Amino acid sequence: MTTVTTGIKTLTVALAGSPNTGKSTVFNRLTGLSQHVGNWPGKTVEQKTGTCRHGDIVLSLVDLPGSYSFSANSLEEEIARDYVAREALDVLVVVVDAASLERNLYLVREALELGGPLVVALNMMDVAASEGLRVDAEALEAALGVPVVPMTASRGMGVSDLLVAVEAVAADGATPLSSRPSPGARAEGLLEELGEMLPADLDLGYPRRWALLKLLEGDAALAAAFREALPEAVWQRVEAFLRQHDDAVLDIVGVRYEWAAEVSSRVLRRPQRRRVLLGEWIDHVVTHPLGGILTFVAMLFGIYWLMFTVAAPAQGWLDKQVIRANDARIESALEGSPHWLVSLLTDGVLNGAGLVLTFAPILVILFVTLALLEDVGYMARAALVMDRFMQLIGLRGRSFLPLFIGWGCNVPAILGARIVDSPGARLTTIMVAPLMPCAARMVVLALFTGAFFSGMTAILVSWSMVTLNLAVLAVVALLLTRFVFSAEERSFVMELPRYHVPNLGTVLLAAWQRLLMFVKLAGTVIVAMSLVVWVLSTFPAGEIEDSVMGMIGRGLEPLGGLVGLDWQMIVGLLTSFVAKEQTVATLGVILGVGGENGEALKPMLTEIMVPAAAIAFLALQMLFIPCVATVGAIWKETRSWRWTGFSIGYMLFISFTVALLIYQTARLFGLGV
Amino acid sequence: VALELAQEVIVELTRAPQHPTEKAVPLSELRNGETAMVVGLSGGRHFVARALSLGCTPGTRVKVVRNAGGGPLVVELRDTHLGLGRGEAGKIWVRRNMSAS
Repeated sequence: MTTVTTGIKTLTVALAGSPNTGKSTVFNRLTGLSQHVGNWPGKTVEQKTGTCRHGDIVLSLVDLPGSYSFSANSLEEEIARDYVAREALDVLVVVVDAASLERNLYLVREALELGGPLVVALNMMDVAASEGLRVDAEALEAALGVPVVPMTASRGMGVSDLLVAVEAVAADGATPLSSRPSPGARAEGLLEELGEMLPADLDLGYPRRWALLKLLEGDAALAAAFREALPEAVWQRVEAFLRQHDDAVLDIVGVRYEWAAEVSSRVLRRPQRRRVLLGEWIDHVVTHPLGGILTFVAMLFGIYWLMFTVAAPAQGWLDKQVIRANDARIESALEGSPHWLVSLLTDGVLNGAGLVLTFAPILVILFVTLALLEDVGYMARAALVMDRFMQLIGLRGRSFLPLFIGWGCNVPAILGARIVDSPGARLTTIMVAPLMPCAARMVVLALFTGAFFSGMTAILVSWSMVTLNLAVLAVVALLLTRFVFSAEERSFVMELPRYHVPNLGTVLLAAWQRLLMFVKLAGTVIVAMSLVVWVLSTFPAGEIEDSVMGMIGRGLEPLGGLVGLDWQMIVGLLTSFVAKEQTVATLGVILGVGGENGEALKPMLTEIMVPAAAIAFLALQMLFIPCVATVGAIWKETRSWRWTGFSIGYMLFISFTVALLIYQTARLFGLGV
Repeated sequence: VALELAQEVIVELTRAPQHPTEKAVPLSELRNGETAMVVGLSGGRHFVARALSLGCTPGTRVKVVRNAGGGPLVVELRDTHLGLGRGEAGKIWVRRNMSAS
């Protein structure tokens, strides 16, 4: 039975499970703070690994992305099942929600079909009990033929039992082939036929029989892998065969669910009279067409409120206490050194790093609230309510929340786009998120409308500018979803999980890990680009007027003339790349009123521009290329310089075109010139 | 014509026993609180695969929890709640008045 080992033995263990089964909580309980968070190689899906020491044994744990099945219906599922099918695991743990046993047994069945060493963690026993459900773990263990460990991970119950079961299974090895469940008579026949069509030595790194079954299920990722590996003629025969039997998936999935229903009916005792659950009452309001929207608006209001009352002051404090204080420290320490060196360290490096740092409060609020709403179970309801509206611009419900957050700041909007499940829709969301008029742009908008207009006109101009941004966003989203990602099927089928009391530890840990990832990945890009802008606006003369940036501004004056702007305004616009509100400070410096004084700037602006040019400038500024932090976030999330470049390019093009149209039309009709 | 096409797909996909008196209708036509049995799915591969893996297989009893007449639906099957876009609910074909055997 168990082999006697000397010294420490390491076991590789993976945790799989559907979303909302408390899988992360199980993982946190096992690994504590020994976690490492990164991305799966080449993918923007979070990868969590960690270790757990238990006696002489060290478990090396991987938390797989949440998956309902081992079919590649989402990027998460593809990663999870590739890992489970290809890696030599000592034990696979499938975490199961005891209160939703039948649906969750589906993944267990898929794991049984794979046939590796398996343990089932029957989690959320407390939730099941509160609903009057009684799950007989021993009967389930007998039915499955693998160890079943009842758990309530949120309270730490069952964790040590899980460890014992994992070690016992690791010592025993894999389930013998004969005990693997059959996919049904029809699928068996088709599998045999399919097997004969393929070369016997074909090896894609997956278990052969499993890969063939997935192919029969219509798995697109595996089909692509086979197509790559097979000679064209063979693949065409295989493809024709698969098309002919494309309804086989109904049988294969049907057999699994029949089994799940049968097992569940044997081991689950329901209460005599079904209780109406609190969650159903909540859902009555939250998924109501009107009540749902009101709830959602209230939630968003709450997030904004937190951003402005907690994050904004914290940002100010960090800026003053950390950035400015260090500015002064560097300046005094380097007294006597050349001016450019001090400027490099303060205006260049520290400013860039400060930008990353001052984003932290906003991001913490975002990550905590998003994780909370997700953990509670509300996020799926919000996506459901907004789905019909998002369809108007070619997206689905999940894209609404990240876009709306962009109203405060584009950076969290882009990072939040991870909740969008189809790759094309996620990319579209990331591409259009910078069009949301962020708070920093509103600062510039308020200054200009205040300088050039008054009363209702000022309000109307502000409103038009915001509407303009939203209209461009809708058009770009439509174009991308219609023409670039036209082949992608964006369906909305989503589990509405039970409401849970959130696990604060899990939420805070996740927020902290995501913040570190942002600082590490986007931070580098932001600091580097801030340095480039610093170099351009400092050299060779030391003053922005005579710098490379100033020269670029002068060089672009003919172009600026088309939209009624002279070189000062162009430089002001270009420096908004560092941060949107930077425009105000730059113009203050160039126009000689100092960078901190918006009010003194107003009369200067009316002197150098006509109102039509001011409106053109506003359109240009509102639609202009994303700021460095946003560009950093886009690169971090897409991992593609092409898409990052595209977002800069298309916004540059649209902003100038719209400004040109506004100014030239105004001139044509003699308005505001 | 579009409906005929959908019916064709469903005939091919249907695995539930035939019932002469009741015609299959899209799930989106059911009212709040109505129950029915899934008899087939039509639509794209991704939608079908996703719906199946969430337990919406032919033969499954499904109850409409919310159908506001427009916008998305909430349905209950296999002890879980699913949210469906209206278009997606139109691709799930069900028969009313069929008690699960």
